[in-house]
Amino acid sequence: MIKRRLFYASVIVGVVLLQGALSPYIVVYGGTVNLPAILVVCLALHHGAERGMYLGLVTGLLADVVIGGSIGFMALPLAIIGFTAGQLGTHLSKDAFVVPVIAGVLSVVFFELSLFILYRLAYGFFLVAAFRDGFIARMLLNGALMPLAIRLANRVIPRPELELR
Amino acid sequence: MAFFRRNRQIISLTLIVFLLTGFVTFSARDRVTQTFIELWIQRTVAPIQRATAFVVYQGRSFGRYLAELGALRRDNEALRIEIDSLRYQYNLLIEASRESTRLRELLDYRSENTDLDLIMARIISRGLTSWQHEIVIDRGTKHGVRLRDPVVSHAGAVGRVVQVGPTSARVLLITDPRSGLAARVQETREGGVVEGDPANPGLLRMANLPHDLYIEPGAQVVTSGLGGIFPGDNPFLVGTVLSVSTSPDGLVQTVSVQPTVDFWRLEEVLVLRMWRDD
Repeated sequence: MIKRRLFYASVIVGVVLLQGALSPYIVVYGGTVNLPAILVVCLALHHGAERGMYLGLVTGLLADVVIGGSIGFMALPLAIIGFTAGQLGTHLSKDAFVVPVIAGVLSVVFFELSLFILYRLAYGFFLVAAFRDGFIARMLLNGALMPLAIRLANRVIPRPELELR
Repeated sequence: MAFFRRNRQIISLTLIVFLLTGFVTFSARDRVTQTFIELWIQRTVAPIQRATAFVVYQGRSFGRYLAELGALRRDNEALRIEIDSLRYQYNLLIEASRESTRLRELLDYRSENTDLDLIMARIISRGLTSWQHEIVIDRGTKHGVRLRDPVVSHAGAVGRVVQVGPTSARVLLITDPRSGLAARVQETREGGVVEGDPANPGLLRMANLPHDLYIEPGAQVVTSGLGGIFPGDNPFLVGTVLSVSTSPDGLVQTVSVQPTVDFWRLEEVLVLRMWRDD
């Protein structure tokens, strides 16, 4: 149990650090990769809604602290993404090709929309350009990466307990 | 209680959403200080962050290097071709310049010696080894070249024509041991026969000179005109005395002569037509 938690902790820390270090260089048609979102979707699809939600929360909080921004800006959408992806994984076959792609695309859409609204709520303005520029590319890029991430996760992540489903 | 247990996930999510919204509201204000937890996490993660950034930077540099490798190879190839082309053109220019210099020297010589009937000829072949002291020129009977015609350059005597065809002629150089050229030391007027030194290819020697002749190294040796090949009234430089040695019995001296003509670099010559058998 402790081993597994350590494993998840190191994966989360690694992904958040990689996002800070790597994402400026992985730009496809203006779209950047969202590694925390991909990780949360992968974990949630494997472990279900509740655990996905907590993993999203932890990942988001760490990203908020490490990468920057206000606390909760990334944690809030990632927690919801984790929960939703977990529900999706519980009710649909996560091994199907379409499910991870849809989950990936939707997670990015939701993530971006959340930030868009949170900025409006917190600061009183809409970051229209940040939302609009490269939005489609971000959506497609992360959606396309999701099946690869799921395939990798299937090999690496330990099998979840059934009762958590 | 059963309601909470049944809807645990939704309730947890709602709580988290509220909590985080509060966090966002709190942290979105202009905070000057960070919380203890934030500071602790940042301090803990900072070294790993630096290491990750370093690894990513190095990996990116390596990736960029690999990506540029193909382009570099293509550029290198193109530049190499360009360098070869430029080098070839440069060589052509250098050759043209040197040829121009040589021809100018020959023309100067020709204009200075208007009494001589000279044919300018280009060397088209030469003996490849040190044994062969012969050259082939691109002028023959068609151009007025005859057998035994003397051949000179602006620097001095070169040799004589030993074979002649319609459009080419073979010239035996004075450095060949078979060639005998009547010559004399310019200052002392002592005469002898100059021939190729078999012991020192490329050098000349004047053998069997009387032992009482005083010849100094550095003295000029010129054609004497006695052999019937070179004109007597117009001496040509043959070489410079390098050294003088006496035979073991002390009866004769041998003079070693350095030819004034650099035969290895010779490319054009002049054939004298004033001494013709007809």
